Amino acid sequence: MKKLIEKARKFSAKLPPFKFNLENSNSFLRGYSKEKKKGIGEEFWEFRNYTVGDPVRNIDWKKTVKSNDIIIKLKELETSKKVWIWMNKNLSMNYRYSSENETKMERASIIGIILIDILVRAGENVGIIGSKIGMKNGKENFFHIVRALLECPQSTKDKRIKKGDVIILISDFLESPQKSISKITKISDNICQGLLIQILDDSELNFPFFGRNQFYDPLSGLHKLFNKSELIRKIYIKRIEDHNKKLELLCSKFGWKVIRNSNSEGYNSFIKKLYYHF
Amino acid sequence: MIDFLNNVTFQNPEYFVFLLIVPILWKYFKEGPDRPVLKKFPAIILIAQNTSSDSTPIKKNYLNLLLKTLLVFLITVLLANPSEKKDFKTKPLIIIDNGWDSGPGWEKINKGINQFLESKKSNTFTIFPTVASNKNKFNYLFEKKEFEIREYLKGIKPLALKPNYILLSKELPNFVQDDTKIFWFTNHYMNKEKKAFYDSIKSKNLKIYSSSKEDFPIILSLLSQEDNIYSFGLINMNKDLDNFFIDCYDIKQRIIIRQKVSQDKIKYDEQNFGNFSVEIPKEKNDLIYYFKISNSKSVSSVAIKSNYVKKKKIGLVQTNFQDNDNEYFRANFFVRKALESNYDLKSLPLDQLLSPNKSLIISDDFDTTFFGFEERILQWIGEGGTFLKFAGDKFLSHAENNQLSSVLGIIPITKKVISVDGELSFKRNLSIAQISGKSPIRDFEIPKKIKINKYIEIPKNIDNLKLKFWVKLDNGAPLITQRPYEKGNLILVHLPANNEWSNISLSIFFPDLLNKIIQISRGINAEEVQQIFKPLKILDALGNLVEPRIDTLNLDSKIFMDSKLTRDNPPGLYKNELGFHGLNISDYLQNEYDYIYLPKEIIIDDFNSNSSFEIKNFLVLLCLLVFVCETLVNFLGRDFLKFKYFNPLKVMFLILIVFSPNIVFANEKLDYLGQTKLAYIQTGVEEIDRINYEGLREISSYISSKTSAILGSPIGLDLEKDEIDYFPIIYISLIKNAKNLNDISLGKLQNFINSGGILLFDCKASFESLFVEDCLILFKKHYKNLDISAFKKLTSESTLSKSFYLLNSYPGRKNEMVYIAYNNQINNDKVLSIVIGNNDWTGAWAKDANNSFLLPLFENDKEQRDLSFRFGTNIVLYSLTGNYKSDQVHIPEILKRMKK
Repeated sequence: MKKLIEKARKFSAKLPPFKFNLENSNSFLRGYSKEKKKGIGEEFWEFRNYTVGDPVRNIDWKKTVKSNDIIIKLKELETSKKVWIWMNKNLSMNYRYSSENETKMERASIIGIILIDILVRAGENVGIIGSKIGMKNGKENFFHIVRALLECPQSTKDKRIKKGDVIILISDFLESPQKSISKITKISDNICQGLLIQILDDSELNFPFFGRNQFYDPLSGLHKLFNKSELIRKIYIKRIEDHNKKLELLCSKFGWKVIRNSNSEGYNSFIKKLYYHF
Repeated sequence: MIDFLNNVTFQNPEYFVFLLIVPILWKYFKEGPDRPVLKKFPAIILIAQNTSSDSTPIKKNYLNLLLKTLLVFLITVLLANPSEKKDFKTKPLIIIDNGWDSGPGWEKINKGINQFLESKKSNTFTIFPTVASNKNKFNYLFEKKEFEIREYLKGIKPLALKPNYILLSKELPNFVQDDTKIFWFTNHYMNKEKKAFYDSIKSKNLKIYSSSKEDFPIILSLLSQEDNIYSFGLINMNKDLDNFFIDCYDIKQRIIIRQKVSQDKIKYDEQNFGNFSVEIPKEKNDLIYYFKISNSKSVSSVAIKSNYVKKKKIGLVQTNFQDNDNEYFRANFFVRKALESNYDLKSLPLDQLLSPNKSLIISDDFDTTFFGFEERILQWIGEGGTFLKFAGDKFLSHAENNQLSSVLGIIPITKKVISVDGELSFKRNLSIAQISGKSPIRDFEIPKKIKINKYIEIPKNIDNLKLKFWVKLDNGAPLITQRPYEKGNLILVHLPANNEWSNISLSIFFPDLLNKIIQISRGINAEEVQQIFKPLKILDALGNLVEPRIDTLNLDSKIFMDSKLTRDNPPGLYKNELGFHGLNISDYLQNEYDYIYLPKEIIIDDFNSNSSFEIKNFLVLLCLLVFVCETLVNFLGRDFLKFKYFNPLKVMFLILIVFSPNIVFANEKLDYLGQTKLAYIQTGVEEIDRINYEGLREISSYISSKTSAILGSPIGLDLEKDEIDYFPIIYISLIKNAKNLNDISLGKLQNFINSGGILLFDCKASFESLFVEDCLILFKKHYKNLDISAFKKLTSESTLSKSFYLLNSYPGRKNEMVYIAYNNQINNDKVLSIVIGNNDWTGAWAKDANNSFLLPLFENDKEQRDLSFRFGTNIVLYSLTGNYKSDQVHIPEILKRMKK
């Protein structure tokens, strides 16, 4: 864990705090997210005349003295978002074709830690789906959240997720897109907003195999023999492209976004996409 | 091929059990495709519905299967350790000819027998030399292993003796069974004895490994000597001898002079026996001990001359006059002491001595019988005898009694004793003033301490031209007088032969005088007396004088003319106090040898010792080839290789790269470049090329040991084919019969000196011309197109003279002037381009396998050999460093060394 955190922090330390720019955030907890409306906050929002029931402490006495009316000073509402993160830790994630690259699991963990770091620094509440610890914010809870991410069970159902919370799912999403979407819809009874981060091995995009090979999926136990693997390459590449497009299409129907990252790419490409989309 | 397979045996046949797995391999390899590689790939789920385009098992490639099986078979055969059948049913018998005629072909014979032993390692052998170790016995080995035979062979050398085939014919049947294979290492030339031996064994399983036809030696015999003219006899079986040289050696085996013998000077008789004469300069005649045909390697081409005084019988006249107990005053005492070791002295009464077989009679002063036999003495002298008379008091008293005024009537005397020892004399004694120039003892040195007190006078102013005064005193009186009489001589010594009147008899002058008189006393055919000569040096079969063996006996002069040459007295130089005797093998050889054409099935040329090695090599190579083919077929089957890549042009290109001779040349060039090497241009004359190689190898080794330059083995170059630019210096032998160089070769040499190389021309024409000027003429004949400056003499001012050692002379085998020239086409910092000399440098450097110098020096200078190596060092370092040593920074150090 320590190595993963160190590796993640190399990237996240250079990044600014990250806030999800999503609509319909209904959190009532005070945070740093400015909601473009009046509320509890630090920044000035507007002046208006006093009406009955307004707290006395909100009267701007200087303005009141200058005018005939009692003037109330309102501030901008500052709230925090609830971000739920889930990372796939099944056997298929523990794969890499080239020993030069990280496994998909390592890549997913580092990306998850980077996200936790920049969200926590932005004052967002971060929770791990299926973990025992609840929503946490503040830098002091960074390690708790990371540990929960790395140790949490595989269940994607969590009753604590409320309407308007943000969900981040990190996986290879190699199962059928319909299955992935059904997994999303089952996360909570409430409608949430979210992001899919698809981690793939470079070989899963390019299929660099030659000759007679027997491929197997460690998760499903599926074995498949190809005498001339190179002959299936074109078919496979088309299949994975179709798969990814379908996943993106289905996600877009829910307003979810998909960011793809292969373990041969750098983390910067992921970060660029993240900041670009949000 | 079948013969080859019949000759192959397997040392580990148990490995053939592996061949049992071949059918199993065949079965399983044939069954299905290769096992796939299991690969984890989670995304395979995406194409789970797809099937492999060729998911049916691969159709088995039978070629692949066949190659695999063949590979297993070959490896099994290799493991079984194939080798040539080496064992004979019975132990083979080796006969090695180490007689006098084996010298020239010895190297080939030795190589052949070693090759034979190597190829038949596992056997035991019986080996016989053809020269018996003593009269009735051969020093043979019976059924010994290969390494023991090798050790034995180290001790077997060609001997300067005749092989004993008669004895061998008697001995061999004890060792030969019907199926015994006999290997005879000899030559094709046979005399009656050898032919009879050959006939006796040719019906057996005989194989003959023969040296070359040219390897039969020339037989040179010294027929006679007339002062400085020597007559030689020559038997030459090869008949290919053109002009040749006779080297004349001194006792220390140095060439004193080399005389050319033209073919037209040799007169052959009907039996092909040649005759020729050689004249030696008189001043060098006495130095010469033996003659050898130049560059021959046989004892028969050596003729040792004999030069000794025949031991003569000397008569001493017996006297009874013993008036003094002191033995020094007894008659003949000093004469006896002076001569008894070298001559047969007979002390008898005078009448018994006056016989024809005596050449000299010495009569002492005490001899009283002299006067009674005067007539007989004169008669004996007249027949050729030499009579030496010592005259003193006794003689005079008798002469007075008999009123004689002369000795034998031919030498007058005054009957006076002249004494200078008187009381009134001014002089106490006289000494010898001079020795007459016509005297036989003119070369004697006169000891200064000789003093004469008394002498017998002869009449002064006599006009007798027949009297010869050998020695006179400083007062002019004769001391020794010779009077020739008919065929003989009377010699009168005017003193008694003791120390009463003078001390002559105590000096070295006295025995020398007697010896000289004995030498000239040849008037009568003196009976030769038996002499014993001690072996000084003996000849080996290669014609070299070596130290006598421990079993070499003294030579008795009586057996000179025995027809048999024995191991006790091998040919060589035997010496005693009277001279030396050369025992030559040619005296025991006749023109009895013929070249015998042997049947082809008997002749064996090569024992092919590497056959088993070659079988294994071949199998390993075949394995690799099959493996590569199998791999290629496998790859092709898997579509890893596609035929479109096998562009015939590319394949041809690859083949060309692999087998291109350029690669070999490149390797050679790398070999040249890997280490600095000296090079020489091959002349085509085997002897000269060998000496050049050996000489340059020695100087390379010398330079590597003395300087920081490390030189590799020299390389012989063919100027027409080889590239020469890789060497700092090239040694070129100038020989008279060299081919004219073509323009390309000359262009190469010009380019070589243009690029800073040095050409060292060494005149090997010394066999024909002795002067460096002849070399220059030869150079101009063959290399006139080289663009170089005029030749200058090499002096100590040149940097070449101080590039490593400081040199004033540049000797090789000779020490003559060396010339240098510069390149006209470029100014290479005034570095020399051509050095030419007549000193035969490689000849001076070359050593043989025994680390002894191959060739003697022409001049007798102990330091010359060292200087020649120094010159070699200088010129090689000069070729490497140029004029570096002429830099001013070296001057103080060089001056300091020059002062030393």
